[in-house]
Amino acid sequence: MIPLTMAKQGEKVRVLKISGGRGLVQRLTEMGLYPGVEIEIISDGHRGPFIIGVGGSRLGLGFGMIKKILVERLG
Amino acid sequence: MKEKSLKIALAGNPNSGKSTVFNHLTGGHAHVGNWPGVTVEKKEGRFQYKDYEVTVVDLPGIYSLAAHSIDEQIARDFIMKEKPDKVVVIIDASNLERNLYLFIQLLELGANVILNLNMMDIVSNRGVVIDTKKLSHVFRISIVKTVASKGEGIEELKEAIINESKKTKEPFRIDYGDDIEMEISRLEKILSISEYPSRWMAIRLLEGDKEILQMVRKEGEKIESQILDIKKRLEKHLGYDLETALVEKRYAFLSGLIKESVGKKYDLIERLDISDRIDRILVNRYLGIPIFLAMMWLLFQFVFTLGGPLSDGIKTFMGWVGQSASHGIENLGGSKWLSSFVSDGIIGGVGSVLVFLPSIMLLFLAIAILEASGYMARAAFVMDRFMHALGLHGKSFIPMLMGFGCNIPGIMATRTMESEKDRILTILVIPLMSCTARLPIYTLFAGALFAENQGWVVFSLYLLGIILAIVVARIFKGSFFKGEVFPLIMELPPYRMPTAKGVLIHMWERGSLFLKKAGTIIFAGVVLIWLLASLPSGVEYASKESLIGQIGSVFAPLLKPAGFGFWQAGVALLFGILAKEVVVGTFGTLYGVGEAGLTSVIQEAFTPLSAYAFMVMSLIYIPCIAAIAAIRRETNWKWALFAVGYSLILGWLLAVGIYQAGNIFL
Repeated sequence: MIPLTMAKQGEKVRVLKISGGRGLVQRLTEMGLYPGVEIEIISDGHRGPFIIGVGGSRLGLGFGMIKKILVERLG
Repeated sequence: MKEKSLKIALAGNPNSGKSTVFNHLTGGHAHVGNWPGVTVEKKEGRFQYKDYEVTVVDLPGIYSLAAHSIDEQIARDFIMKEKPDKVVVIIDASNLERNLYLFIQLLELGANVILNLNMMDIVSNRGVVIDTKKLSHVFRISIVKTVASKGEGIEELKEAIINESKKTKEPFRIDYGDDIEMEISRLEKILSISEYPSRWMAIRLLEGDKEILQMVRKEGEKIESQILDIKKRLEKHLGYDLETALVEKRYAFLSGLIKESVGKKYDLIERLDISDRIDRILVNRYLGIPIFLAMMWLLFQFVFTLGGPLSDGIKTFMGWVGQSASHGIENLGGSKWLSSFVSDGIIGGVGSVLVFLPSIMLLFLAIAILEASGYMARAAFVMDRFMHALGLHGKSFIPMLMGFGCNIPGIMATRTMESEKDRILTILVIPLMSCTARLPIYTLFAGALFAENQGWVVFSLYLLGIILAIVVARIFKGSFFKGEVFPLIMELPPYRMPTAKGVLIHMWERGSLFLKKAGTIIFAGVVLIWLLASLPSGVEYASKESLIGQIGSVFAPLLKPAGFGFWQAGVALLFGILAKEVVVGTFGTLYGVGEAGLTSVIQEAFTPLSAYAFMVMSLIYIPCIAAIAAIRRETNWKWALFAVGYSLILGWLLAVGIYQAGNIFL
């Protein structure tokens, strides 16, 4: 289990947990990010925003957000 | 044959192709709300099909009915309160799970929905097959497949819209699991509001929906504490928070359904999309910002090099119109003042503003292309770090950028921002972006008094606006809007080739509002000025003794420290509140001269220093009345007045400061 900040471009991971206030977590879940979903790192930001692929869509997430998402690498 | 009328709404996620569908249904003839005063935020159009007249309302793109941002609130209010006959939910079929989430919420609400699977071309390109019969059966609604960008499927959609066959009125249900279901029924029994389905309300209450809670509070305090009890009980049982549990149940249902109805492994795209490849370059840590700056440079080049010759053409044309008009009037025996009124006042005043129409249209065209291609979202994304360092939210970037075209669409574009604090902060700062209406002022003054350096002078003003915005935002953030900036979460649509039709419609929507403004407000303003300059009767036109001279003289002493303490300047600024372009029109009307004459008038009345101070004043001093109305609409009277107040003070301080400092040092 690692924070999403440590994932690298091209990796596929599964979301385990999102920590944060209700509004935030709800927002993310509505946009397709919730525990159990598989995502792909399209572009990693190194302290800047990440682009992640969820299904067919692409989400841009700011660094503050990335810190709060815990994932596991897919074998 | 009597025509039946229907009112329908188009709903869906952003980037699902909703606007394209709207344009195809209505032929692109949308009624977009006028900004000054009239509060119509929705885009409406209509079409006729068989013997129906259908009104179509295009709702803002939303992700859910939970209403986190203003856009979502507007869409939800419309569906809940105005109860359209049908709601067409437009979905990017290549992204079913996420898109269907909203759809499910609408079904739970009991809205009469039609599911429109759009972008079917992408789906078939990927070799994916969607079993629409099954989906239709599960949800008990009609499904229409379209490829809106090519216009395919639109006829079938119209057919489905007018279809009046009644399906079972039993609202769709998701099984949330025994524990939750039990509490839902419990809540349902207590609720006595009959306007909305009780099950839907119960679920919304469990999700912490503030609006429904308000409605229900009128039943008495007890309900609120009961809801809290239920939540505590459930969360203890489930082990985590209720809202997330409900969302997960919905996605679980959707997952299962999609596995059964979609014929190919859906979740991860194995190979990189072209979009992703482009993004790896454009959004790159090192290349991102330089690329963006290059794009901006291109944009300005495009607007000004193409716009220049076109503007000159209009200038010549307006000059010719003015001359013919005054000759015509005199030949018909009209008096000199009438011919002066028409040719100098009206044509001179309005004409001096119309000259900018080409640049404005080109700017809106460029913005439309950037938006349609998908690059705008990347720009906001790339600039996020930078914005964050300034204390602003990444999502403020696009509204602020649009503010350079016109402050009003910029102010309205803040609706997608989730954090109210960040949103208000952005709205307060947008008027500092030099909109195209200020360009006539800059061009006139810089051209008259700075000749060869005019380009640099104008550029410095744009830059000043940006720097001020940063400083002001910083200060406000520290004092009124303390707190963390809401983290950036943005959807990046795939890159698309903009269609000529789509882009031109978009450009026209915004540009035509400028034309209307010219035709009405500016025209009215110019007439008013002319009137005030000619009264009381017998007084010399535009002299100090005329009504307008007296008004201006009240302000003159205030403006003296800034270098332009003569009454005409005061009047110009005063009328500039109607629309910034009127500042130029006012000078034109007051001095009774057309384009060429204005330049020499300005050269006599101002020095380079006072001209610069005047331009700074025009940049900052007050948002135009339409912008003030927009600010009020998007926030409230308090913030609108605050915006006016701080602008006036800041503008005056800076203009005075620059003039006085200039006098000392230069």
